[in-house]
Amino acid sequence: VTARYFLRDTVRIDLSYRDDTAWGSAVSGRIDRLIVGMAGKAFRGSNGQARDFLTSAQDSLRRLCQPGALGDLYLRPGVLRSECLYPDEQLVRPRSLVVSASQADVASELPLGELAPRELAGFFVDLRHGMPAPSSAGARALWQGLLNAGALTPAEPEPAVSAGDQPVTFVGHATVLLRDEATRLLIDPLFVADQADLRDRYAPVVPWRVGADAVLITHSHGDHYDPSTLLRFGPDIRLIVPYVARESLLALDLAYRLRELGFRNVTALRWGEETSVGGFRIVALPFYGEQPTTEHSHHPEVRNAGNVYLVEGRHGRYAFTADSGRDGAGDVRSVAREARQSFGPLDILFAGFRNWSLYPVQYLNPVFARYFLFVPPSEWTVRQSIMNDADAALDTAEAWNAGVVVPYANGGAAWYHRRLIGPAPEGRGNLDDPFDPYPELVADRCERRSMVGATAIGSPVRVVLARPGDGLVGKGRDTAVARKAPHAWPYDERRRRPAGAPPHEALHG
Amino acid sequence: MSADSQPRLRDDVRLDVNYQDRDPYGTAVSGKALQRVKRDAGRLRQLWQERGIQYTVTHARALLEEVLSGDGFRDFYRGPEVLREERVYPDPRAAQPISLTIRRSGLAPAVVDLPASVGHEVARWLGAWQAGEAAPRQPGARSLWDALERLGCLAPEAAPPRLTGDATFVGHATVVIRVGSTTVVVDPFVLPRGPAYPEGYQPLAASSLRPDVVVITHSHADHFDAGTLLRFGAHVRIVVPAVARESLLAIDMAYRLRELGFTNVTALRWFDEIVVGDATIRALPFYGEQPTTESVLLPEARNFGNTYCIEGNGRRYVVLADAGRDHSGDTCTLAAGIAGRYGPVDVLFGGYRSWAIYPVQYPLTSVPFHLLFVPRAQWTVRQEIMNNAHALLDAAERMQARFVVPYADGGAPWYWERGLGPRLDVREPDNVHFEPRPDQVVEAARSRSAFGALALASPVRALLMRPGDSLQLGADGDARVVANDGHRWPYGEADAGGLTGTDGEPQGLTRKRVLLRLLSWAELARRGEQVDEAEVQLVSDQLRRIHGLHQAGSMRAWLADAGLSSAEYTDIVRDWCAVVKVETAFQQEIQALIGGQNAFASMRLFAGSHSP
Repeated sequence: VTARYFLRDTVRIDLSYRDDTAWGSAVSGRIDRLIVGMAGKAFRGSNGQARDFLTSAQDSLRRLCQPGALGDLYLRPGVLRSECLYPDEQLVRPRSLVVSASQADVASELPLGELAPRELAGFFVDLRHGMPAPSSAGARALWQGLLNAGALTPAEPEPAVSAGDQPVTFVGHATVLLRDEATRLLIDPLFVADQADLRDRYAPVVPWRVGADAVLITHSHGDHYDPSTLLRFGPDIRLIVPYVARESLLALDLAYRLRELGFRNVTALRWGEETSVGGFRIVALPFYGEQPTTEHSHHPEVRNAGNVYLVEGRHGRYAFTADSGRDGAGDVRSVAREARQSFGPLDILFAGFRNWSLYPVQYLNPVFARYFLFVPPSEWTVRQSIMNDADAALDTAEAWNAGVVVPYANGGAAWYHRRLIGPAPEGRGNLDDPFDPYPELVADRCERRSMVGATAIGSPVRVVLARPGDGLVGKGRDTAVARKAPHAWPYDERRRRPAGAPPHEALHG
Repeated sequence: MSADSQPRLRDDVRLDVNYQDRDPYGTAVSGKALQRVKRDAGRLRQLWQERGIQYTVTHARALLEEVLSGDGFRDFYRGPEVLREERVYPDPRAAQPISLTIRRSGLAPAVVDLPASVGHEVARWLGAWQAGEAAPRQPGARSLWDALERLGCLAPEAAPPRLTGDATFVGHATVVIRVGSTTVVVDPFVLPRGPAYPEGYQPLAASSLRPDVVVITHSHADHFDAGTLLRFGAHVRIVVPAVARESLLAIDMAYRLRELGFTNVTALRWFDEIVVGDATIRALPFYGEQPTTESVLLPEARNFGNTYCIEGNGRRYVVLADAGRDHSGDTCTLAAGIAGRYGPVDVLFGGYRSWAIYPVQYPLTSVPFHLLFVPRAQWTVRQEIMNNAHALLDAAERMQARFVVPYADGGAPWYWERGLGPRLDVREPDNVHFEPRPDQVVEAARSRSAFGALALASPVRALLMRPGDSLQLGADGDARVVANDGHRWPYGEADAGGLTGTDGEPQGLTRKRVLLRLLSWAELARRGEQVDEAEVQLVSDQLRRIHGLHQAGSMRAWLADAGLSSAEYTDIVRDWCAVVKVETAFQQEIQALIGGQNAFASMRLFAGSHSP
């Protein structure tokens, strides 16, 4: 009974929320499920979605927006009811944990019961370091539930697999680790690997095993804000998040949500504000893009609130644009231009390049269907490229005068792809898939930014293709990848288009 | 008063107005400043030759520091990043029309002086002679007449036949739009016919355009062409963008036209509108084709321009020319406003040239002045100063356009032989950054997003029009592109991506398609797969939508026209579904081999460019 048990690294602890709001909150995802359910009815009988897709979908969308369906969510056309737009944050509370351990294929739902949500951060960090069955009833029930779910092991975890000691480590997707001699910063930590990945020759970096003094979150989407990962760091980790005036359908109030889980050291930064951690200076810059449209939206005042971060440390100056692009309020390229004037050129820009060229009807999926609510009908047949594509990422890097640009924020390893994040790493898909392009696309575009006659002209900016687990050493244009076991990328580099070949043939092959 | 028997200015004569320019550096209208800038960029040209353009792009900061502080350019700046006003705004009066250059096929270009008494009445006289008026008595005009006659420029010539359809794409940025009984001609820039072009494919003549009103988008020479405008007579209504002050970036078109003797010139500011006959013409913002897409030195000095919404008789057209985005706005935002304010657009004529270039490349282009206006912070930043294919479609979708016609990039040999637009008579690698083919827009419209493995097409239909083609809009919302007689496109069509070979498609490829249809069924059977009728239906629907045949009537008409029975059509689509299934099954293998295949395909191009 006194034996200590450890939480396995590969267990995911997803929070399930009790949602008592009228229409559902983004925190619980109930609003998305509601919309998708209504869409299912509206599209029924429309001969499937693929057929004559955009044109015939217009009728279904009009049906979807009638009273009795989405129409009920609006006060009048174009104006969402306040209680829908801003679901009361106190009516959405953690209810249970959905625990998935890779040994057991099924997830178990463990009610929090008597355990207050505020005890979670402390509970899990204790468990990570090894904990016997707790004495308090609530904690004990959860402990037992985790044990039954196969999430705990009596075996002390083996020493962490070294992530090297280079100043920058690309952990994967949008997760980056920065460090100097005294301080470690993690950006957007997300860990989704399972046991088989850990056994494989090519292993993920486990963020909490490396440890961190502070964590920066760019925005509240699940692949950037991941409580399952954050809970491993304990209640006292410094958390730096975007300031959210009021939780809405488009943005979780991260400071509120983190404090609710017991985190005691949360700093919410507004655009233009800065703070420091050890020798690192952290500046919050505007996050434009990844809004429901690139231009007009029903509620431009409600945003997917986020920060682009500029981080200056002893070893260099970096910026992280995550899923930035442009929207009705601004363009990340202008942010880059202005930040360069204020803070100087970058050593490394970590730039998303996913593009997401979607027609609004394609939003109607269980992950972000709520975006559809903000799209005026006049934009239903307008393609929205709500994030930077490869060329816009390079525009951003040039405007920032970055030494190198590292394409990131689109998965990059099998454990991400398995969770529907990013393309298949072994490279089966199209280089320029409009939804999940490969980072090689940025390198390819970088070599062909312009053309004179038949001669391609490349960007003055260099692209460094970092794979999950790669370290980055050197400064500015001399930045290079430091790759070593057990994080050595095991796949062939994808074949690039040979010089002179017409682009459309290779890219749409 | 029939002009047929009277001598008139021949259609195959090309006129250019020459200016005497007393400004020390030169104005934009005379071409003197352009030559100076190209000359002062000599150091860059030298480096392009010695070390390649890439070198100058990569080292732009140091090089431009050196070049722009060198002789010539230094004089443009009062201080760091401060342009000298008198350089940017030369006195317009310093340049005056002095002569005409006359070009006629087979003859050397001749320069004919403009007598002082004709100077401000050039439009009047040339217009009169274009219409077949007799030799003038006024001595100055008479001497010009005599000079033209000596050069063989005057001859009895029948008026060309009327153009068909609702709109005609003359070529490059020149479009004729007929609204009710009113003919609007956009950016007339007409080049003469000649024996170098195929017999059955010659340029349309200026005299076939017959404008009631001419509208000009901006002052670049391929849009604002005095040589063509002079054919229309002094009294033709000409609508031009209002230019606050003539600069290196924009000619004051109203001033220059009045200087040539045009009497009916209207300068419109953004959102001004006029009514001419049945046509309402609204001037709209012209964003893009500025020195950068962001901040510039001296932002009030613009390449002033208008885009236009032309409507009447229940139809609405928009012409965008070289629009894109700049520090003051974005064509996409404008497009949403157009649909909101005026309603959906029937046909959008839009440029798609992209012009994605680094500032050091400007001296290689027709807009070398742009380099001078680029702030240091952007010297190494690529500028995409015009819409590309997808940006054009972004605008078209926001306008709720039914059809988009890619234009404003040449399109015929008389353009590409002078370096305007890509060659379309030979297969060359497409330069998507500078001179893309119009097919790029059609291709982009077909593949805007993905839905699973299915490409999602834009709801806007892209129509490929060739110079000389007319557009007929049907009452049912359909459109037909028809060639005017004597102007039939003689080169192969781009691979339409369809199932059957088009006339211009290499037969070898068509045969391989048939072969694939034959072989795929065996492979499918081996894999134990089959094609179900729902899939056939789906693919057929996609095809019909892409090709604008979604209505049963138009589908039947096409089948009859193609000589295909409905059953034959279905068989072909079904076979093609089998091909696609097999292709999907072999996806990985195909992906592995495709790089090599592309490399292999470059053999022809390589051989072509290295042949002795």
